[in-house]
Amino acid sequence: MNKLGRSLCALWIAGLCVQPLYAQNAPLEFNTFGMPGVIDTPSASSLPDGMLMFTGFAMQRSWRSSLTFQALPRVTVALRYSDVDRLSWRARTGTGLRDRSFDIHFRMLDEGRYTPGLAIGLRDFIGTGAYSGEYVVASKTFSPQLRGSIGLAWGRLATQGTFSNPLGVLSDRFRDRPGGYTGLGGRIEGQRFFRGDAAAFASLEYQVNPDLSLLAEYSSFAYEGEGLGQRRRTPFNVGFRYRISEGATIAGSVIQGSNVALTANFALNPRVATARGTRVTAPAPILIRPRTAGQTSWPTDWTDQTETWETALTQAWAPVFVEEGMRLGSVSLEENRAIIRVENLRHEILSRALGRTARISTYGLPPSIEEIVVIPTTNGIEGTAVVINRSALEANEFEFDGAKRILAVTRFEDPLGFSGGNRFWQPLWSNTPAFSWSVGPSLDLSYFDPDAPVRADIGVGLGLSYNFAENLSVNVDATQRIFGNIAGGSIGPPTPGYPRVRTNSLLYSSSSPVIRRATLDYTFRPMENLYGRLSVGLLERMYSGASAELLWGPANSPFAFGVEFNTLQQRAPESLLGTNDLRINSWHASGYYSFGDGFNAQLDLGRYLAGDTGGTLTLEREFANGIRVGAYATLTNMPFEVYGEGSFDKGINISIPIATLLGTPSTTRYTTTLNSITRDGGARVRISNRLYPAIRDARKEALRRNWEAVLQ
Amino acid sequence: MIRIRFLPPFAMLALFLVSGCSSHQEPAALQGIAIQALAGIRGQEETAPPMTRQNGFLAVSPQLVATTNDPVVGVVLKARDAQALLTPSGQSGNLVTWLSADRASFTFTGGTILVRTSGLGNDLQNADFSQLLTVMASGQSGAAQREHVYLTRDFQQKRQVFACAVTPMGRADIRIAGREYSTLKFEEACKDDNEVFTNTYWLDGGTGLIVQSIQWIHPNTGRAYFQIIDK
Repeated sequence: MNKLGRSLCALWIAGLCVQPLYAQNAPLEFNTFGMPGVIDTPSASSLPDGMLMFTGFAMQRSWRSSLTFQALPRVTVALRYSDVDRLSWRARTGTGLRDRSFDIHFRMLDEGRYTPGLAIGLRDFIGTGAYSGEYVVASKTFSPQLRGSIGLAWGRLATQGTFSNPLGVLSDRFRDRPGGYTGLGGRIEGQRFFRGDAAAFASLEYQVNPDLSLLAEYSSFAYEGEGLGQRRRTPFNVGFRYRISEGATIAGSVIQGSNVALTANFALNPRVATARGTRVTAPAPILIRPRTAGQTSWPTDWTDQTETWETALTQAWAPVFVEEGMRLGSVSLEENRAIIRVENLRHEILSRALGRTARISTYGLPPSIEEIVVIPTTNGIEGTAVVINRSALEANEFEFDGAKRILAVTRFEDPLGFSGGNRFWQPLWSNTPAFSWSVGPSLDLSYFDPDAPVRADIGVGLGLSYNFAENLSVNVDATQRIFGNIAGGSIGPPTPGYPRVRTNSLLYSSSSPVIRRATLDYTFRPMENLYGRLSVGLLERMYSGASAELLWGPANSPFAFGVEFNTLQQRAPESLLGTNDLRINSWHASGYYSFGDGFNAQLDLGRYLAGDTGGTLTLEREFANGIRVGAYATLTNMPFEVYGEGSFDKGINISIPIATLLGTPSTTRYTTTLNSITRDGGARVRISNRLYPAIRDARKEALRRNWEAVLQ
Repeated sequence: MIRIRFLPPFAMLALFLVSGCSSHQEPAALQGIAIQALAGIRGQEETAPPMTRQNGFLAVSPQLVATTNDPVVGVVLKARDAQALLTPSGQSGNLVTWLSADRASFTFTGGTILVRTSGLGNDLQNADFSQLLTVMASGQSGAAQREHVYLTRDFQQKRQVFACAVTPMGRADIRIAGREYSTLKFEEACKDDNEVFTNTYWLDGGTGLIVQSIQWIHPNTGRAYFQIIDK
């Protein structure tokens, strides 16, 4: 070990008697790989739980962009796309080696008063492995400002100052590291882990103030392939990190005494998403019914004039609902119960829309009405009936745990139980707008093309829909590209023995107007807890046909189950409405489960577009403010060698309600899927109005998590 | 006057995505996002005529008061350079909620002792100051614990407990909208691990109401100056 390494050890010992306390409002600790660390080396820290962050790193002839997610308090994962400037590659292809990589970092031990924190990490552990390496690192805080780490690395992270693998004492097989990768990549290369020569690294991080940190490290990572080998002057890197604003940090460093590197980091914490919090207008205070002491019931003689009440309520109410960002669908009144159907057009959190509906209801409802049944609708689908107790609402608006007390007496039921037979339940007034439209920008992104990390088409989108009834509609979605470069991407090789079902998707980017969707959609309720959907027409950009779905999903159950059948024909890329000869039948059975606390799983089993059969497992973390981050993998009977690059389909789904970014309420979401490469195996048809997404936010499990917003 | 905030790329993407319009979906109020007007309480245009301030409080003229039959509360959020006139919008027991023209609301008890804010962002969901009232009633100095509950941005309750010292500051004759009040002034000096603040209350001897007060709300909101003009 060199001199700095020795002095670090001395500091470590000195640090044993110092209180381990890092400043509370600590800046993000990330390295040039977008993972917990210093400059190039890792440290045994974690990001705040749930943190989502983008890190861009640029150095002469090399760049990396990393998307990082603190999936669990101890587990950090990252997806990276980088240009590794291997000289041999540049000579052959004119660019560096463009490579995707996955990392996982696990903080095993927390720092104690005398003991360091300990973390273990796998870098680029799936597939071709240009960055493939592993590490074990220990970190100790010496004072609120100073923190040091030392560790051991293997693989590409051990490319300078190497020595024979200490694990060699356990078994000789640790002494050599196998090169290359299995098949066409995309698989976990476990046989490489912690094998071959090892090297030590060490770092110091000094926090000058909450925004500025100074960094120094002895690195074991040599940038061998990046052409730095010749110009390397020292194994030391120095740098700084500076926080510009709550979500933006820049870092600069001098790598190995010869190269200047810049890192920019944009962080979004789903648990603290905007600087100011959502600034929604103040609600109307809950109106309390005047009552004499102990009074619990009120006269019901008003029921003789229900029609008068309904007319008065709906006409006076409807504008108030509009002001609160909702559309009042219908009102039905019974002696002790009101049934109110609403569509939420503003609130990113359904709990808030329910609360505001209930608040408005306290104005003007006959006093004998004790149960306020709010039925939120999405695309004409009624997800749940939330039965709110009016007395509980009146009593708890200003209680410290008022929302919890209201929840304790709130019931979540099937809305089917509140329609049909009863003479009171036929709404005398309803408000379904027949025609609606939207105009806005359209943005298509295509990731990880070999020539361009991100390709985009930007244009104008037009949406039209006509409702024949609440549950029968025609929906058209068309776009006109203004500019973009998706069509310039390269089309991947075909899948031997299978039709081109997705590899030809670039052909569908067009400079002329495109109809993305033109469907006749019908939703129905065959029986309690069961939902149905039929869609016919141009289902998506690449496929037309018919799709039928049934979903069993009780409002108060964490479990749902669905089946879907599609009979499809591939659309002709160049024609507005035409199709080509490819006919496909696909089907899936899907199970959905909420573990609680925002962890959700979905398993789909069935027949995919290319005729391959298998399953997709999706694991998702959903935050109380609606941000969702998930990962999926699809395994089918299509052999890995036939599938092509990556061996099987896998990727990351991100969905962000824009309200959490802007602090202004809105139901708009930005949703994207990052998958490494688009192939034909494991592909599904895209249906815009699948049933589970329409009911998931209305389920008890989802509402319970942000229920505090019911009084917001 | 307008101020343009730094927008991170995530927010710029979001702005791009909401920049459409439609017959059913609501556009995000763009002016409230990128550009923040300074007049209203919520950062929106104030409809009431502009008013000057005096000692930090809104200078409400007797003429303006004469135009309404309802009581009003004048509020100034100093750090935001925002001000508004509030009118009563609801009552629950001894809690009265007051609303501004741009729909921010404040709930008070005992005149202007703040219990809740809505529509400001980082809102105060609840406050417990029962010990403050006890100490004030005694007329002596004393310690009083104060508890605030905030709704966090991921919709969880966050409780903050402050240790406070309440000190009577003696008699103070003040003037609100041209009317004289003979009051007792109290200071409540509070702190916890992160925050230090002092609230000031003017207790009207005649009605027993806090007719004027300066109260800290949240680090991002700062202090509010309240005056009640009871009719």
